[in-house]
Amino acid sequence: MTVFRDITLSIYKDEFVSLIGPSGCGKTTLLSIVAGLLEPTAGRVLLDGKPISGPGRDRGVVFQQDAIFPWRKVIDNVRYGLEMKGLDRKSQLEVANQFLRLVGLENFAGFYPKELSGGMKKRVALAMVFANDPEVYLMDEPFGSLDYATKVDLQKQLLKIWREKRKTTLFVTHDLEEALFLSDRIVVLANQTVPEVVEIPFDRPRTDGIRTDPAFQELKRHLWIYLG
Amino acid sequence: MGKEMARPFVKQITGILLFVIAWEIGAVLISQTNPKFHNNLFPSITYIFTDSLKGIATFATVDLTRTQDSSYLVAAVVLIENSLVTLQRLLGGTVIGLLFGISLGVGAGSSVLFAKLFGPLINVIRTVPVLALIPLFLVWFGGAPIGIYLYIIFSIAMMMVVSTVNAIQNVHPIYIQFAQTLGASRGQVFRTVTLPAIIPELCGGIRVAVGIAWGVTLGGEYLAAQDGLGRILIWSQIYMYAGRMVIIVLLFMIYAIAINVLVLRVRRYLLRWMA
Repeated sequence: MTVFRDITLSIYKDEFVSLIGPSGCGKTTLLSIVAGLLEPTAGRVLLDGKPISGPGRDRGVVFQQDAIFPWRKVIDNVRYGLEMKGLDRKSQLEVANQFLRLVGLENFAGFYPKELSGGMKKRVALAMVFANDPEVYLMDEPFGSLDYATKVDLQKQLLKIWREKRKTTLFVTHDLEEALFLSDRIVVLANQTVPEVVEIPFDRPRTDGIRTDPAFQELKRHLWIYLG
Repeated sequence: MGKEMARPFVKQITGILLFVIAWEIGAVLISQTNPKFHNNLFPSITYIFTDSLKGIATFATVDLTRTQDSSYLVAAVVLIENSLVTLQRLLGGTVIGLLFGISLGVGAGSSVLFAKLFGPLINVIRTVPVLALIPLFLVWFGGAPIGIYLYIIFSIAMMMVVSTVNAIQNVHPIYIQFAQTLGASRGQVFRTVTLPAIIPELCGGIRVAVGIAWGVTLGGEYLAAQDGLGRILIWSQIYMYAGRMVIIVLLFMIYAIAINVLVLRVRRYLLRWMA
């Protein structure tokens, strides 16, 4: 089945790019191909000039669904990637604790995921990916299932961490405001045509104030046309 | 709070008491209307815990019909010895069967070649009711304990293979994908994702398997064994000692409840992470 064709897209180092489009346009498919979880039927994806083959720790993925391991305590989830890498246990815990603090969950290290709220589970997933120190962050509507306040809160945390770590980020969302608030560029993927790329001019660090800025609203209206 | 908790307990006890009273009345009525059966057909509870219990002592001797020099002490020794034999078969056979079945299931669930080679075979063998295989095992092994063990192991393993394969197929792919993107190798995914993720479903299978284990252990003992509670039960039936049979059945009840509690405790520990 052809989900999309003839898409050429370059993402630069340390850039935050959002992928938006109506549901069924292939946002998640494209992200899964970059993650190495799907094989493209035609074409290729290069990372630093090398073709991607299969999933790997150089591309950290935050999924839309809860993917953190329910049988592991929060701290054991966060140190998972480091454990797989073969790091010694002491260093694993050290790094994991550092990233737990970063997402504000230092008091929940010994909890099982079932004891956490939806937003906290998302933070654990973010900490797991950050702690593993990938070159690229791939995020598939990570905040899609959260309420507005939690979503806005996590967007700000994500930006804070992204500024600190400066990682190339590909962020899939159907939420225009989210895309505008987070991104350097927005790629509109619609109707299997050549994607439309929109540059987002707002200075960083960004605050919640820009959400009501007229220029922000104007861009949002502009993007709506592509989606409609 | 204490009173609230106590009330259902009182109701449960009342239910059991009513059953005991009904049994006792039934026993008296039946023995009066059919005097030639005395207490053999439908013994009263007092008869069960006196004459029938003492009668169990006959199983300590070679001569199964001799009832004169029976005593409570000998009966207790007989019951303990035979309980140990049966429980050893049950637990030993079940544990080995579980390990064997889960290993086979893991093989079939994680290797395409293994699944293609042995999947159809296992599915065909599994359709045979396990009790139908008792005579076959009897022909192969006679009354040797190894035959009873193999029969229990076989029955439990066949059941667990299928539930293990199902459990592996039901592991949500998102967990495997997340592990892969965090750098886990195939072996690491299996050890850190597949194994913990299948435990809840395996626990369900294990509970059913333990229930089946009682049936197949008894089945094995009915036909082949030279000792064990199943043998006492079947010989009591041959000589129409219903009271002795009731005693064995009561023992089974106690053991089954105890093992169920044990299984539930282990399950609760293993699944402490589940909602």
